[in-house]
Amino acid sequence: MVKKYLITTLRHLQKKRLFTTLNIFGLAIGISVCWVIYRIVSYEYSYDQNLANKEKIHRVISGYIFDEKEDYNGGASKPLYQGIREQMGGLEHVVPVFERSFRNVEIKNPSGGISHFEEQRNIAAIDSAYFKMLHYDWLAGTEASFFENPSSVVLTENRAKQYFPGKNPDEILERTIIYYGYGDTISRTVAGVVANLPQPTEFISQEFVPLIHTTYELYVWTNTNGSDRLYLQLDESSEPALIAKQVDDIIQQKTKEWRDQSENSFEFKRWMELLPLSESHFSTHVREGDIRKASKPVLYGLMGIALFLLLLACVNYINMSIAGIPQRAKEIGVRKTLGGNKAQLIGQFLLETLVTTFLAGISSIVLIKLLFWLLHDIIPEGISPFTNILEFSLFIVALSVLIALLAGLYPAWLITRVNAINVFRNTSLRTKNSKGFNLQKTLIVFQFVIALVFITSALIIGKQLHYSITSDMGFNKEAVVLVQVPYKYVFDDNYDGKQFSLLQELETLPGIQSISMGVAPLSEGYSSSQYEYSEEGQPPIKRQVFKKWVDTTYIHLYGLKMLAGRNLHESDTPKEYVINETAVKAFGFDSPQDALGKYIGQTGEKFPIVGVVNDFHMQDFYSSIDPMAFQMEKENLHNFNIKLDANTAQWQHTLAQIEEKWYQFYPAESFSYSFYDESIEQLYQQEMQLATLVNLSTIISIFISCLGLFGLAVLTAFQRTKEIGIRKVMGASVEGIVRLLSKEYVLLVTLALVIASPIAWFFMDKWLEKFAYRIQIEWWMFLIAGLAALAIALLTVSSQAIKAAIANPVKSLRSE
Amino acid sequence: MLLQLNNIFKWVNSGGQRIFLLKDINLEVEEGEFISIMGPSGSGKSTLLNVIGMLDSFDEGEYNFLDESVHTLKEKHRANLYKEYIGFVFQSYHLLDELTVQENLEMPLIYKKFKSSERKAMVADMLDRFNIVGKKDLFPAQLSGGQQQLVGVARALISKPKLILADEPTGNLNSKQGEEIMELFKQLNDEGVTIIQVTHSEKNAEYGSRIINLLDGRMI
Ligand SMILES: Nc1ncnc2c1ncn2[C@@H]1O[C@H](COP(=O)(O)OP(=O)(O)O)[C@@H](O)[C@H]1O
Ligand SMILES: [Mg+2]
Repeated sequence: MVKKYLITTLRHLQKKRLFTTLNIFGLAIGISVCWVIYRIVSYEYSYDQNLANKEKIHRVISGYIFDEKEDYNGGASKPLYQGIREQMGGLEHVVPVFERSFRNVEIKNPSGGISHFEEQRNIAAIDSAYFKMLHYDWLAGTEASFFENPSSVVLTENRAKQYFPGKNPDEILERTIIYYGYGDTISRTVAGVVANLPQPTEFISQEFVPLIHTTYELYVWTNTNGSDRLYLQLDESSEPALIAKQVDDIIQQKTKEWRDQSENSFEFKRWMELLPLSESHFSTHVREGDIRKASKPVLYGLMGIALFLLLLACVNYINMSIAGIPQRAKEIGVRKTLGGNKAQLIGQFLLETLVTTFLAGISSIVLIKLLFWLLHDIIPEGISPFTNILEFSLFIVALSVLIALLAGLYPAWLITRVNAINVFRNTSLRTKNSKGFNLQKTLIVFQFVIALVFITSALIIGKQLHYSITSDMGFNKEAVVLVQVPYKYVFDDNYDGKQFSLLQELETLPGIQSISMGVAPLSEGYSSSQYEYSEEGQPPIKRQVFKKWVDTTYIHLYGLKMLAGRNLHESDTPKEYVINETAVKAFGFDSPQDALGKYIGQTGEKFPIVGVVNDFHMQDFYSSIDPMAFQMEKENLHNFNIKLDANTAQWQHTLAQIEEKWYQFYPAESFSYSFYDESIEQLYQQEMQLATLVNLSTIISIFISCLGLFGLAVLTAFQRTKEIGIRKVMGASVEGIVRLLSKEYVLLVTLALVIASPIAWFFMDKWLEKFAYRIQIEWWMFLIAGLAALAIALLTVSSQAIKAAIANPVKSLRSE
Repeated sequence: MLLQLNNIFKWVNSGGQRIFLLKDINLEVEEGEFISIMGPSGSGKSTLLNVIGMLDSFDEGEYNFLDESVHTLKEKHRANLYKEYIGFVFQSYHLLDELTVQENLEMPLIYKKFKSSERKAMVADMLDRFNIVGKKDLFPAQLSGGQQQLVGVARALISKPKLILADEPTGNLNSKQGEEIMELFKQLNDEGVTIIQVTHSEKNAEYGSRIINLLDGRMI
């Protein structure tokens, strides 16, 4: 019986090849998007999911109020773990993980020769608590022997493979590794190799060294470094909030002790919080460099996109099915008169839907690969399209059933309502409600609302990105190339002062207009400190000021305007400031002129303001321009800002020459340069990813909607053949008929635009709110989106309309 | 003379074979004639009517309508010609289901670019003349077959054609309704409208002034 049903179904689907194809294609797109997003979301939620005690593990993080802004740091003061161990109960494990990096790692090969590894990261100092909280498999060596020797090291499998390629864990034991830090050198013996933790995980340390329990001075309690992480595994009965309070109390107590004995008046508020391990991967509010994080809103957004695109596909299916009912009315009528009951009719149609969806699921395999390729920038590394066939099959089956119910039930029900007598009497089915607003039209409007929200968003995001990237930054970035002395050489005595010798060499090169040493206007790293200005008889004004170390050519090279005073003078030691307009306002000076000669700075280290420059952007457009001060101190100058001649044809040649000079002073592999256009684009990588995503969603939603529209146009044209024939015989022109058939869609798209515009406006305004410098949303953006949608809709339906309009009426009227 | 067909042939190619639908049709129609075309099913009556109505093309021969040679005219010109001079009545009425009686009558006038006020007057005229004023806001499905055909004839007449082509206008009606339509045709003919109808009924054919018999696409 089932087999017979299946055969009838397949035969039916084959007969309606066009619609079956359109349906399968639409659903396949929906399913593919769902799968890709499901992969991403489930990956992000799988961090550390197979840790047995994951619910009990929490991180200690530090919160600050800094310059009236709340900020979080992923680290905790180094001595805090000792305080907790001494003073607190209710904890299973207190686990410090103090990571650091080394600028160079050396390994002597037994056969002679030395292997070098530059800039090695994720080397963690831990004690035995770490291995109690996290279970590691020891492939060689033992935990006991590791902790016995303070200068031993344990490697993960990964790191062992990097350091000792092709060696078994056992062969690595007792080998020596030399670590060169920034000013220190340590030699260690390998005491063990452990298996990698199951991925993905936030415990990314690759080398472990025994933590030496030292006694810290009081001031260390006030230092926080993001690389000093602290985990707590709570007792069964412990209340996280209570534990957090106790941890915080310890810090507040120590801070108070330190305040009481030091004179430093630097004011800031700091507190400790517990972050459950399950939230750690999503803690985008906590600044951390090394660890990939996922933003929950973004994931929700993705799920929303998946849901909407799937809905669109279902809507298509529903629409085409409904539109197809009149054509199958005869078949249904016959079945009914021959005794088919409702359940059978519904069952048959649902089966048809199920088979269609299932075929769509199978076709989605190709689309999924395509999507993965298109989105490779956005999809986190470590996710592959398919790992587990069973999981995929289950997903497809579950989704198929869901879609079959979602998209199949209503048309199925409609089918049972077809009145056999009417069918045979040949009364048209579309008499009554075709003029009113029926479900089909509602669904089309729904589809276009979604498509239009996407189109408008894509437009606005693109515009803001363009604005952010191309706006005047306040400094002249044309033809300026940035070359940085790598951080590791800055602290290396061997390279002390070499940058100035290089500078002299470079200045002799043709093709270069001028060179300035100093922190680039737009720089990733920055340092800010609290400066104060005290007028006599007034309480001091304290402001967070960003300091940039620059030389005397800087202002000229970047075309900054002196609003008052003069440029900095050449100097080996800090002597004076040039500040920006915002700083003038921040300290309450009446005018740039008024600021001149005033002393600002940190307590006990104040210098006069000698000049004021115009405001320029130092960060992305999310951040407003902050108070800034230029100062000259020779030993802090490590960055080359090179202004090339305007003749771009010569640039490659000039850069090659710079590189050549560079090698005379620094190792070959350390040269890299960037132009501003690139570094500005770097700032907006997330936004560009968002743009990619929205653009793709736009294309997909338009595409699916058009599939549906096309199917509907075909069916409508078919249903209206007779009407069109009559109208033509009565004298209607081809244009008239095309207009008649298209008018309806124009109205529907217009209505969709009216609904979509406020929705898009709301979301985009929210998104733009985060920018300190942003574009305004304007009415013409919606108009363009509407016109685009309209054009696409008309293109889609017009072929069908034209086909219907030029058909010979004799043919369409004969069949009766 | 209203129209003249000279040696008209029409065929279709099917499976390498040429199937003739019309063979050597010669016909002259004067203004004011009332012609009935008869013949067995499949003999080409509808095809001939469609050729006369310029809805369908032919493959050989000449067709002159009011001194215009139809076979040399461009599609658009031909459409203008039949729009102006010809009205069609169908066996299955072919009213638009989603338009009311009044709107159905108005439709051809819209295509002939009459002004709104003119259209109103002409529709009102027709409703009056056919005694269907009371039905003007009903949909076709709410009318009997005879009433629907009445509307069909009214629609064909509304733009005052010289020629009415009716393909089995009474085929779906009972004899009383059929008679009414025939009476109506007679009356129109008396007023000067040329009528060519296809019919199976001898009695209906009697209303006409001339009978053309078709067999296998050939006049006999
Ligand atoms: N376009 C066409 N292609 C093939 N056969 C056609 C075509 N038009 C009409 N016929 C055939 O020509 C014959 C005459 O048709 P028709 O004029 O409708 O006959 P009648 O109206 O006299 O019953 C029929 O056999 C019909 O099937
Ligand atoms: Mg016929």
